[in-house]
Amino acid sequence: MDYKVHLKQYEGPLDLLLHLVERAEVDISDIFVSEITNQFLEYMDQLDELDMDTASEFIAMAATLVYIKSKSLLPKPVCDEQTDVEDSEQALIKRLQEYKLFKEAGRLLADMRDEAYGAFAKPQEEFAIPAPEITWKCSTIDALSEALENLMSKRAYNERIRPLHKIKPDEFSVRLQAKRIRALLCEKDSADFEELFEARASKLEIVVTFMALLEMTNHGEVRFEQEKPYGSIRVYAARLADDDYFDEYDRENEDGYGM
Amino acid sequence: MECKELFSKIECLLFVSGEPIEIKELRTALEMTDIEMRSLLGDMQALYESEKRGIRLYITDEAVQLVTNPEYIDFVERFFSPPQEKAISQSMLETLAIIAYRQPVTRGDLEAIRGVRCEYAIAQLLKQGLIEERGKRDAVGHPMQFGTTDAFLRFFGICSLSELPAIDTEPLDDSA
Repeated sequence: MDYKVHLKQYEGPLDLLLHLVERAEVDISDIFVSEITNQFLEYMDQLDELDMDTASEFIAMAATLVYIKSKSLLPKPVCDEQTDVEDSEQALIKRLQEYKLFKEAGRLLADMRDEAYGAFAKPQEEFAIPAPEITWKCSTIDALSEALENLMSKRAYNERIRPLHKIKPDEFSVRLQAKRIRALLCEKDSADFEELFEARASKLEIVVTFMALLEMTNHGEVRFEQEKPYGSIRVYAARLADDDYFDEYDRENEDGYGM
Repeated sequence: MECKELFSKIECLLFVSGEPIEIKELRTALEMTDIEMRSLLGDMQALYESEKRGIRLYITDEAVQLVTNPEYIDFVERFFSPPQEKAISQSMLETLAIIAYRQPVTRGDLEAIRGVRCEYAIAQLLKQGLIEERGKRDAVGHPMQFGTTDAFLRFFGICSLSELPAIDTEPLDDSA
């Protein structure tokens, strides 16, 4: 008589109920007048095919149907019980009708989607993120190292180192020198390269100061400008920072510089 | 003429963005009122259509986007063979329909109407950007409510929720 369909094809018990109602060609409101409850129960032996959640929903619906049907078969006591049965019946009918509406609406949406397909758009353009700005104006790394060389040769650093004087290990640290440079630049905003180094600085001091300067450049704290080739180099404050990132230096070199 | 220049500027922005741009943002950038902006966009749209251009303006309540003219889809498909789109499932459509017509709704509302659990459907629709969270309902448990997005409108080819086909959402006691 009936072709066997599978519970899995349905989006839940309401979907199955709706299918049975439509197949029987009855009004939703006549659902309990017809054989639909029995037909629904026939499908319950397929419950094993479903997962726990879905199966439980079908069982709940089956129970509701049986409850309503059985209540309607029993003689009705004269009191609120009557309204109770009608309410459950009416509630289910309303639910079914509402579900039918939205199922239909879903189909309408599907049609709309088919028509809308064809208006393509493109994803957003990707922009390369520009590198942080470091302005080197007419200045090359050679010029920088040359400046250092000149400094070293000009300074009478020998005067600073007394033969018998003991130099303490941590006299100069990159962190301290960076602090010094920062302080100077805070005051003056810019300075000549030579001004960063003490007049009678030792070789060690010059090297450490230079390293501090390189570190600050790396972090974008300073920038350089050179008016003309081989001209003097001017150091400008760019984004001066706190000295937190110098911690690694100090820890690494606890024995001090001057390897 | 100043109008042409505005057209061109908007065109540039829309092209670079690809994705819809909120009309609010656009008019702030061009220092226009909402009415002026919509009127201008309307003119642009009319121009594209009258010239049967390959691109169109897709204007919804909130945003505007440059899209291709659907009339040429066959041509595009032959040239690019875009992957076939998987049809959206019935359960998604049902869930989406309820949200669209009854928003804002909670997961509880959806499950009551559909008679099945809706967690998966909601998660998928959120992922696709067709629905979004719309604040919590002032009820027991403070459940989250959901509504449709601008992307939902574009997905189904409409420009505002008022364009949804009319269905009688209040079920009658006797179904027709």
